[in-house]
Amino acid sequence: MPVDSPNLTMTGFHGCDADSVPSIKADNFKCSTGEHHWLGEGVYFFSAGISNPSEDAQRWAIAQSWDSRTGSRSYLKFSVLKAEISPANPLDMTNDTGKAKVNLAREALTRRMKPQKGYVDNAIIQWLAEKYGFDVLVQDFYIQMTRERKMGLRSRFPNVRVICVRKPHSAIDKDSISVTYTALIPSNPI
Amino acid sequence: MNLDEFKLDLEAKLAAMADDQLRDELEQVGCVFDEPWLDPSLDEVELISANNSESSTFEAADSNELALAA
Repeated sequence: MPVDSPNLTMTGFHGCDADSVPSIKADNFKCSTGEHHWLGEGVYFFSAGISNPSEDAQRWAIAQSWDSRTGSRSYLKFSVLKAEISPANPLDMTNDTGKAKVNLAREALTRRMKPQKGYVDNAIIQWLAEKYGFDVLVQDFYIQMTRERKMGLRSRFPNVRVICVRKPHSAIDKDSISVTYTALIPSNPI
Repeated sequence: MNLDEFKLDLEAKLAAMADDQLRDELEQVGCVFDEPWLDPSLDEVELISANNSESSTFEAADSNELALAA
């Protein structure tokens, strides 16, 4: 689904702790922060294109409930929220133009710097998004859910399409947010 | 913005930015630089290139060729 044209609405699915739903519905989504996120700071959704995005969100919420530090679930009930996303200035990296733009930026930036530690993708995409005012980023990823984590399964082939909404209050009408699924975390998820 | 426009715009933006400014901006979005900002080999390439321009008409297409020439 190409999204380079503004005024296009996308449907995204977000899996989370069920206890977070009331505040999200009341105040809209809040950006998660941290350097480890796939496309930088933002609210993350699964979208159609590769797999079933509602099921992706369920599997993600289940996988994320596991806290490896404590060896237990950090929440026992999860929900999937559906939202309509209306970007003003999206960057779609699932098409050739989007990929080429990111590649140009990477080439240009890495000519000017010497990064010392691991991936610089996150910094490059955030720099690019801020310089060009991209409010929504779309990219295909391979993400380890519970089964893949248990197996230690690594792959270079994407299994999900991810939407990162950098400015949720302008790109998401909170009245469009609805709960599509709520359930207890299975005792032995796969 | 199509790809050609984007390329020109990106080049212009970066050309207008000093190294310190670019480094600061990248650090603000999580890039970590433990060592000197500019690759030391780039300084070496410039030096080699300058020496060559004084003594010969040698022109190298890229840093690898310059390094080999040294």
